[in-house]
Amino acid sequence: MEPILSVDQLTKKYKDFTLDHISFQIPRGMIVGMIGENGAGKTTTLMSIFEMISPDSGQIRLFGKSWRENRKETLQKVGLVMDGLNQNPRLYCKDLDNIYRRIYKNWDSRLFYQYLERFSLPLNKKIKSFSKGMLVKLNFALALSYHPELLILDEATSGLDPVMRDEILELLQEFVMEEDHSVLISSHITSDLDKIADYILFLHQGKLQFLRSMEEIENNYGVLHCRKDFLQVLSPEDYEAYMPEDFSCKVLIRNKQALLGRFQDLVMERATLEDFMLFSTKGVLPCQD
Amino acid sequence: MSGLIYRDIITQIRYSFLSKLIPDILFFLMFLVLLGKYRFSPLTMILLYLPTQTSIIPITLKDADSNYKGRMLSMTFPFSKRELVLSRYYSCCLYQLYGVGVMILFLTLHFLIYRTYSPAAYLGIFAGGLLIALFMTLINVMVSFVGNINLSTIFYIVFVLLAAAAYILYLFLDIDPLDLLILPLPLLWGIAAGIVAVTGIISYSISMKVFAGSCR
Repeated sequence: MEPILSVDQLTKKYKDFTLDHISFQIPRGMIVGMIGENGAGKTTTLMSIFEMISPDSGQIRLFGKSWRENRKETLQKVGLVMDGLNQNPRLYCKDLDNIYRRIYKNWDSRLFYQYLERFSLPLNKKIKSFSKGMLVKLNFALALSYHPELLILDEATSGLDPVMRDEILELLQEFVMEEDHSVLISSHITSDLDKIADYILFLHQGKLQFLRSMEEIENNYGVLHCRKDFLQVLSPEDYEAYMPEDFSCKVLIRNKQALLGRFQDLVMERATLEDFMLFSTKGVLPCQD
Repeated sequence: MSGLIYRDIITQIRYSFLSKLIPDILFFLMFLVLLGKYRFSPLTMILLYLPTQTSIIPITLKDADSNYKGRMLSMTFPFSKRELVLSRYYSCCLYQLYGVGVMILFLTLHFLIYRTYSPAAYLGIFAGGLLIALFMTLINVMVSFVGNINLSTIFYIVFVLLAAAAYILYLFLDIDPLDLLILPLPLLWGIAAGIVAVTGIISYSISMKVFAGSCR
């Protein structure tokens, strides 16, 4: 099956930042988490999909079609929840129902009101009376109510309490149970991605570091705490980066199975997504020794 | 595009329905009841007050675009950029129907009560009011695409003040409007309608160019 989203050599240059030839594909039926430090280019990438910014070069294909030529048709099937991108506060939820059913062919009013009830959102109050968490829930209700095939979330769960975040994560997992549905979620809450993501896309300083499956990350990567002299024993191929501490080192091991085969007494922790981000920004790369 | 048009109209209504309706009712009664016997009364209401009131919708929508990321949200909808711009024009022009309704009601009542002008002159005043409202609206929509909310608001205020100043000057010079009709009526209306149509085309072209160029 063709990928639901295909980005090829996407480039965007600003004065102090360049999104540098990003290429990746989002397969169908998967949740892909996008991680990266602030300013890595995550939002720039997502905004390019919606033509909120115009890339300098590159191709974006949605549902196998060029997004520029088929914008109207493809955006009928894409839902977006973006932190800070909220509805006009002077409107009511019923106004949004009337607006969206005129925009989206597959708009499902019944489903929308079901979500409003599920999220306990009031029908008779203007949106300006909603809290931040309520606004996020409303955005999810809107994005899910026209039966999209691709959901794109940009820091969508920030501002939600842990209980609500858990419910949203459950919703996302239900969403991808349809084999042709996918989710691309950009988030700093890496613990959420640890729970639900199938693939991780890691951006750093405008460059794509990797797109790997969570299974591969869990099986191959680990964090080793060791003495500094032990680092000399390791070869540069064994690790991605290390962070020196006062009397020891933390090392992000690249192929822990192979290393455990050589040093059977080693104790390694599971590498979390947060570890990847920390090592990429604060770590020392092997070639920098 | 009906969803975008509906969104714009409902936004305008939710923004300022009561705060607009109350002064409209007060001015309506003032110009009809208190000042209705004067020749300037229907002219002021139809050629000045109502056009300035209904041509404010681009500013309201610009405020929604600027302060609540309305334009960014619009980019996520399944519409082309051409449709996003065109729908704004449609919704702002469609909103003039409110003014048209008030104009028709006012002029009908004024004619029945005072008969200050002939029916043809009342019709001419109505047509003039509609054209002025459309003209002001088309200019305001263009400025809302070209500038930010501050520029749009300042431009609207200046536009209204200039229109009011020109109108007051005309009142002081005590010119009978029928004396201005030196050209044959059909030609005069044709020129006026042509000016509004050309303004619309130029306004849309500039807005489209600016909007397309701003997504960078």
